[in-house]
Amino acid sequence: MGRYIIKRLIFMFISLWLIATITFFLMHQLPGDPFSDGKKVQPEILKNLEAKYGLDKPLIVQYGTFLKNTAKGDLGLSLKYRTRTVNSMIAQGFPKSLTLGLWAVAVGLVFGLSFGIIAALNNKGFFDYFVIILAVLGVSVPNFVFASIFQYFFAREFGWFPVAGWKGPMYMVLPVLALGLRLIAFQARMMKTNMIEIMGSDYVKTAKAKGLSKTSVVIKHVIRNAILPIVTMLGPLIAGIVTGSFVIEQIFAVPGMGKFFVDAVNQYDFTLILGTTLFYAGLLIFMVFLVDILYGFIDPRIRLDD
Amino acid sequence: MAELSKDKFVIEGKRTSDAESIVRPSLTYWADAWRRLKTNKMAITAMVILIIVTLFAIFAPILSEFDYRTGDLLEVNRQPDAEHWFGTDELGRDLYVRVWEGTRISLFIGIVTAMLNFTIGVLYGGISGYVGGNIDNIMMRIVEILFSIPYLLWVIMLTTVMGSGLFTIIVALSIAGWGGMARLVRGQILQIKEMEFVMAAKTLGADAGRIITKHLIPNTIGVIIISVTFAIPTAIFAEAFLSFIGLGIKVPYASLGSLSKDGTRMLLVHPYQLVFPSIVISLIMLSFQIFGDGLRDALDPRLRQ
Amino acid sequence: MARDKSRVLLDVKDLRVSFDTYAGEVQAVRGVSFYVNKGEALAIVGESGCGKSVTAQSTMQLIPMPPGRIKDGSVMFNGKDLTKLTDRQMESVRGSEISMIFQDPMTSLNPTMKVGKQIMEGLIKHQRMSKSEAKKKAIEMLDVVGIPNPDKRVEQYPHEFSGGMRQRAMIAIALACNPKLLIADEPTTALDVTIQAQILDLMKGLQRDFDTSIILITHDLGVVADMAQRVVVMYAGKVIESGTLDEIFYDGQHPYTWGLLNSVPRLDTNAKEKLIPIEGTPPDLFSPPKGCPFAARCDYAMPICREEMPEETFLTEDHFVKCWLQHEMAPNIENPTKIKRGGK
Repeated sequence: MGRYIIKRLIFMFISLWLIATITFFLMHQLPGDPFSDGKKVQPEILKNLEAKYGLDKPLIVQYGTFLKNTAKGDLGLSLKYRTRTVNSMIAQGFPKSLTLGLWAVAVGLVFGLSFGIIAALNNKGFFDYFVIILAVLGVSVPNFVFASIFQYFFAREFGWFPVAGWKGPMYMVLPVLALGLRLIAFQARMMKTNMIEIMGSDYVKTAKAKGLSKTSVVIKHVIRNAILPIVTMLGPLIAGIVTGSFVIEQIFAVPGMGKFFVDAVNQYDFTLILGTTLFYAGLLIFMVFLVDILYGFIDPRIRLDD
Repeated sequence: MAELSKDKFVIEGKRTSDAESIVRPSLTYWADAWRRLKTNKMAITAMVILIIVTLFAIFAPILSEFDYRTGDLLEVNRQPDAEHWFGTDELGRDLYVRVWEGTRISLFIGIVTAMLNFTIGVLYGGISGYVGGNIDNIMMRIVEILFSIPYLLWVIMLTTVMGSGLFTIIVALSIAGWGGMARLVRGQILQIKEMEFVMAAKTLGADAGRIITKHLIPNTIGVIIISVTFAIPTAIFAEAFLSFIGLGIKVPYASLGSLSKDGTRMLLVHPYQLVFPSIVISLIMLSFQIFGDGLRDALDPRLRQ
Repeated sequence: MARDKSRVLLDVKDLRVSFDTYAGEVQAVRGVSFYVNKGEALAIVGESGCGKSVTAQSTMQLIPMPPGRIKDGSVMFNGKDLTKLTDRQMESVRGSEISMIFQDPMTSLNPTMKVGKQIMEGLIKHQRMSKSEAKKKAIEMLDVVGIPNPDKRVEQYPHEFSGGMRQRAMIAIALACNPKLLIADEPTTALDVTIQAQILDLMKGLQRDFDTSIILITHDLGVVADMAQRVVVMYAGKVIESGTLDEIFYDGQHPYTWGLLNSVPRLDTNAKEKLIPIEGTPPDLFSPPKGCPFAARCDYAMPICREEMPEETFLTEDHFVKCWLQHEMAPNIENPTKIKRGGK
C-alpha cells in the first residue's frame, strides 16, 4: 500500500512537471506583445514591465524561475491586473467554484444513484422510461441550454429564484441544478446498467437461492457492487464539473474561478491562464489519485501493492 | 394406432443434412448489424433527423435570399415572421440563414475532428498495441500523462496559443482528443492478438500486413465506428464551449455554439434568438447520442445472440 | 425400488418453461416430469442446452421472470405446490428446505462480501440466529466442508479462496440450514479433475451425514455413476429416458442414452476402442421439431420418428423410455454400448 502510494505520487509529480513545461512553452510561443491592450505603451514602461515579469531574460532562465516559483506554490503576477497575484485571484474565486461544484456533485450523486436504482428495479416500467429520457437528454443537451431554460423559466417567468448573482443559498439553486443535471443523467444511466447486470449475476442467484427477500438481495448484494465501478468514474466526472462551471458561472454571473478563467482567456492574461490551468490540472490529477486510493479501500479485490 | 403402417418402421438413420444444417440463416457481420439497427426505431429516427439537418445545413443558406454575414440595420431584433423565419439578430442578420450556416460549420468541425482523431488514434494505438513490449509501455505512458489534463482545458490552452479560426479549432480539438481513441484501439488489438484465430493465421504463415488488414481491423472496426460516432457530438460540444468562453468561431462567421452564446446574452429580452440555435444543437447532440447507442447495440458482436 | 408415495420428496409434473426473447418464444422445458425420493440422489443428464438447468432453477422458482415463464405443470414438495406459492412463502423454502449450488464457483459468491457473512445470511434469515451464533455456525460449516483454519477463513473474501475452496464454501452456504433437498447444477464442471473428485466425495459424505436428497445436474456420466441412484436423461427440453442407475447404464433403451454412454471415456475399456461422438447439434428450441427431437441425429431413425413424438414405454416400474424402437412393429436393435454388468 505504502509503496503504491509513493509510486503514484512520483508519477503525479512527473505529470505535473510535464504539464507545467508544456503549458509554459506553449504560452511563450505566443505571437505579439502581452502588454498592448490597444493603446501604445511607452518603451521605458514596457521595459520596466518586462523586467518585472522577467521577460527580458533568456527563455531558459525564465523557465527555471517559473519552475522554482511554481514548486513553491507561487503562480506569479497577473499580466492584466498588475498588482494582483494569480494566487490571490484563485483564493478569491476558487471557494465559490468549489461550493458550486461540491453541491453539484452531491446533487448528482444522490439523485443520479437513486434514479438509477429505482429505474433498475422498475425495469421497463414508467419510471424506467423517465430515467432513460432524462439520461439521454442530460448527456446530450449542452449545459448552457439547460442553464438558459432554467434561467428563463424559473427565474424570469416564475420568479422562484434570482436570475443571476451570488448572494445567498437561493442564488445557488439554478447553477447547481444546471451543473448537476449532466451528472444526474450520467450516474442514473450507469447505475441502472450496473444494477441490471449484477441482478443477472450468479452470486445474486446464490443470494436468492439462500431465501433472502428481494429487498435484502438488492440492498446487500446488488447496490453495493453496482456503486463500486461508479467510484472509479468520479475523477473524469469532477473534471466535467470543473469545466462545466466555466460556462455556468458565466451565465449566472457567479464570481468564481471559472469566470476569472474566462476573463483571463478573453484578455490574453497569459500568466493567469497558465496559473489557473496548472492549478486545475494539479487539482484534477490529485482527485484521480485520491479516488484510486479510496477505491483500494472500498473494494476488497483491489490490492494496492504492485 | 391402427393407421401406423409397417413402412414407417424402417430404419433410415440420421439425415446428415438435417443434423448439420445450420438452424438459423447465417448473416455476415454487416448484414446482421444492419438487420438489428433497422429494428431499433429510435436509432433510425435519429439517423433520419441527422440526414435532414445535414441537408438543411448544406442547402438552406444557398437557397435563402439572405446572406449570413450582412445584416439590415433597419431590421434589428425582429421576431420570427414570414420573412425572417427565425427572426433577426441585433445586427439585423437573418437568423434562419445564420443557424443553418452555423450548423454547417459545427457539423464540419465535428466530422473533420472525429476523422482526425480516428486517424491519429488508430495509427498510434495500432502501432502501440501491435508492437507491444517496452515501446507499447512508453507510448501508453505518454498518452496517460498528456491526457491527465482534462480535454477542455487542453482545447482552451491550444486555442489560446494558436488563435481561434476554423482550422486552428479543428487542429486543437484533434490534438486534445485522440488519446481516448488510441487507448481504445490498443486495447482492442491486445485483446484480439491473444485470440486463437490470429494465432491460427500466424501459424499458417500470414504476414503482418495481412493479419492487420484481414483480421485485426474487421474485428476492431465495430467499437471504433461507435467511438467515432460519439466523437462527433463531443467535438461539436467542445466548439460550442469554446465559443461560450470567447475562443470559438469569430464574427462574422457563426457556429451553433457562437449563436447560442449570443442568444444567452439576449435571453431575457429576445429569447427566440437562443431558442433556434439551441434546439438545433440539442437535436444534433441527441440524435448522435441515440444513433450511437443504437449502433453500439447493433455492432457489438459480444451482444450477438 | 418400487415407487412409494410416502417416500417421495419432490414430484415435478409436466413442467413447461419458456423464455420470451426478441426472436420469439424459446421453449426450454417442454413437459418434464420426474420425482426425487427422500435421501436419494437423482441425476439429470443431457447435453448443454437441453433444459436441465432451467428445469432445476424452475423447481426453485429461480429463473428470471420475465423473460422466463412457467407455462404449465406442478412442482410438489412436501405436499406444497411450489409454483403456487407467493414470493414470500417461496423465500422461506429457499435455502432452508431446498438449496442450490451452481456451476461456476468463481462467479457464484459475492466478491465484496466476506465468505463468513455469506454463510451467515441464510442462518440469520431462516433460523433466526443472532450474529454471533450464526458466525459460530458458519465456522462450523466451513470446518464440515473441509476448509482448514475456518476461524480465519470466515473473515476472508472470495478472491482469497481457490476455485475448489469456493465450491466448498458454496456447499457450506447451501447446507447451513440443513435443507431436505440440494440441487447441484454442474457442481464440478468448472473445477480441475482432482478437485472434482474431492468435491464429489464431500457431497457424498454430506448427503449421508445430513440425510439430504440431491438433484445432480450434469453432462458428465462419470459423475453420475459415482453419485446417483436414479437417472433422468433429457433431450431438447424433454425427458426421453429415466430409470435406476443400473437400468440406464446397462440396459439403456434410447439411442440418445447409448450415444451419451459411448461418448464417455472409461478406464476399463480397451484403449484402442474409439470414443464415438454424437454427431450434429440439438434442435433449435425456437421451433422444436414435430416428431422425436433426436430423430435428426439418430442412427436408428425411422419415418415415424420424424412425424410423431413417441409415448412412454415402461420396462420396469421405474424405467421408462420414449422411443419408437419400443413399438411392436419396429425392428429389434441390439444395444450397441460396450458397458457390461459388473464392468463398472
